[in-house]
Amino acid sequence: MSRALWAILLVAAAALFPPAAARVFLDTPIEREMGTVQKIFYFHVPMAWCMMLAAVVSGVAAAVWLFRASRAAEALARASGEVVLVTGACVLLTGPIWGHATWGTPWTWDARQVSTALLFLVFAAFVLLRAYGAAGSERLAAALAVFGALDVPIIYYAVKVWKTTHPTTDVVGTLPPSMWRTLFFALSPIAACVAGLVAVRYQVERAEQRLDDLYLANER
Amino acid sequence: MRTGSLSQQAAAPPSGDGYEKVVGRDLRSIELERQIEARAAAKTASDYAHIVWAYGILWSVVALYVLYLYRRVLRLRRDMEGMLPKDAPP
Repeated sequence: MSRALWAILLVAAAALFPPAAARVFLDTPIEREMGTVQKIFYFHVPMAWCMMLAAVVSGVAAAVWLFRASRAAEALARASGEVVLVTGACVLLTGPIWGHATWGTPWTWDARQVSTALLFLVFAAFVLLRAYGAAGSERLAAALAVFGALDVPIIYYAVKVWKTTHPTTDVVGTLPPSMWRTLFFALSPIAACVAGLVAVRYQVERAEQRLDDLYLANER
Repeated sequence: MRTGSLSQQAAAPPSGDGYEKVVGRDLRSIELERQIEARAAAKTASDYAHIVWAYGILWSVVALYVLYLYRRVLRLRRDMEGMLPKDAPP
C-alpha cells in the first residue's frame, strides 16, 4: 500500500463528509415513526458495515499468516483488528444512544447487540495479546482474529434467526429511495476514512517490522 | 382590555351594532394543539441532543485513534533516527 493511497482515502473522506452530513440533515426527509433521531442511522449502519468488513479482512489475513507466515498478512491483520476496535466502539456507543431515544432503553440484550459486543471483545483480546502477549502468543492472537471473523455472519443473520429489537437485514430495501441513497452516500466518507486508517496503520506496522528486523540484524 | 376566554368570545351573541362577531376556535382545541406542539418540540429537542451525542462520540473516537496513530508514527520516526549511525548524512 503506497503512501499516496492512504492520503487519497483520507482526503476523500474529509471532502465527502460535509456534503454527506448536509444531505443527511437537509435533503433527506424525517422518518415518520422515529422522527429526527433516525438521522443517527446514516452513520451508525455504515460504521457497522465497515466494522464487519474490517473484522473479515483481519480474520482472513490472520488465517493467511497462520498458514503461510506472510508478514504483510500479519501487518494487515493487526491494522484491520485495531480498526475493528475503533469502528466497534463507534457502533456500540451510537447504537445505545439511538436505542435510548427510540426504544426507551439503550440496551435490550438482543442477539445482534450481544454478537456485536462479542466481536468487539474478541478483537480487544486480539489487539491486547498482540501488543502485550509473550513470545509465541501471536498464533493464539491470530486464532482469535479468525474466531472474530466467524462472528460476522452471526451478527448479520442474528436478526433473522432470533427475535430481536433490531430491524431485519432487508430493511434497507424497504426504505424510500431518498433514504437509501443518502445511506449509501453517507457510507462513502466512512468507508474512505476506515480504509485510510487501515492503510496508515498497515504502513506503520510494516515499518515497525522492518525496524525490528534491523535491530535483530544489528544484534547478530 | 379583553376579558374572558376565547370560547366565551366565540359564544357571544350578535350585538347588531355594526361590529362583526369574532369567531375563534374553542379553547380546548387551542390547548390541545399547544400540548401537541410542545410535545413535538420536546421530542425534536431530545432527538437533536441524542444526535449531537452520537455524532460527537463517533468522531471523537475516530479523532482519538488518529491521535494515537500520529504519536505512534512519531515514535517510529524517533526509533528509525536512533538506528542511523551518528556520522550518517541526514
